Amino acid sequence: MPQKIKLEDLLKLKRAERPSNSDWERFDAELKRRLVREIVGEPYSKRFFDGVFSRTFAVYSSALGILGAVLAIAVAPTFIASFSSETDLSRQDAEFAPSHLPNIEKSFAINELPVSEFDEQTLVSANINSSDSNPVRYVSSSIGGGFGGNVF
Amino acid sequence: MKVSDLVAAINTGVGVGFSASAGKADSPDVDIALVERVKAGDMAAFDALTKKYRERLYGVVYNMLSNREDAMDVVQDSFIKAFSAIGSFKGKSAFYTWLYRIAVNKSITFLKRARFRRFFSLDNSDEELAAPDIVEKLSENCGAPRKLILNELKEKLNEALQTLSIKHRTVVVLFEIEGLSHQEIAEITNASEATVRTRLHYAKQQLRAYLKDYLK
Repeated sequence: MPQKIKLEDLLKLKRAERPSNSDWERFDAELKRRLVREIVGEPYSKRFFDGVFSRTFAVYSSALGILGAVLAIAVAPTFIASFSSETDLSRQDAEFAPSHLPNIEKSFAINELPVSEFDEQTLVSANINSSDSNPVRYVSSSIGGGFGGNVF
Repeated sequence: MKVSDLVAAINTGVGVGFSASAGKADSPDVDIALVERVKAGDMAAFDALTKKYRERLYGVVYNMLSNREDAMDVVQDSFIKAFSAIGSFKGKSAFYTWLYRIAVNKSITFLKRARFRRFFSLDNSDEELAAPDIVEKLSENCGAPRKLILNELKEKLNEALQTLSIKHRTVVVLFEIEGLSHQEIAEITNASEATVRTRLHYAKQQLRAYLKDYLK
């Protein structure tokens, strides 16, 4: 015949849930360490970093790390595929791309460039006679000696 | 009496009037003597107090939090707090009442902070302490092995306690599990005895409803 069980009887079972001796050894060691810290009064910075790297923080940071790893694993194949297709295209482009010639914005004969339009950024080429008193003395180096004139 | 003698007496349970099953200390004089020594800077005396009360404090905190690691942390916090505030202990109430109050307040603070973070991690039950007659009765009633019944019941009891509000849980844990009197609980929770009785009655009603399958 089933025996009647009271709530109070069930709650008595909770008294049996106790840590092991090894748990208590760890507890004592940790408590002593914290007591010493309390007495000595460790610097705030040390306490802060101890707090930051506490178990709770470790749990959250581990969870974040795992989440990051999962995301990386999920996204990485797509990223790698798109990156490799891009590099293939650019490699093909590189194979067929013509080499660029120097960009010469203006080309003129001797004394054609007025001083007022002179700009250090303006690339010019001109046949220049070194004996001229012309202020323009610039020649694109890529076509330097090709004109047979003096090059400065 | 030397502190080492006190420590030895506490460890062996001789001469300090403390019974592990009673759930409360009936040795206020010994406690007061130890507290005075702690105030004078005697760490061995504090160690003795720690060893004397750590298991009972753990019992309260663990049953309120249902998480063994958190319970260990909170019990440590409670002892640190007791140590740093021992100068303010005037002996108007028993030392263990004062210590329980610190632990209960620490547990309540912890529960409020960790409202959205609830993980259960349960302690192993000491089979010898786990009221074998009750487990036997349950095993007979359900026709399941004792070990299985005990584990299932442990989880169910923790769930049931977590359904209670913090105030109701505190009263049930202190009265039914730790075996404190209404008056002691009133001191610890800073409530009247009538309030404690009312809370206890209501909490037990809720627990009976939750655990009705086991209470046949």
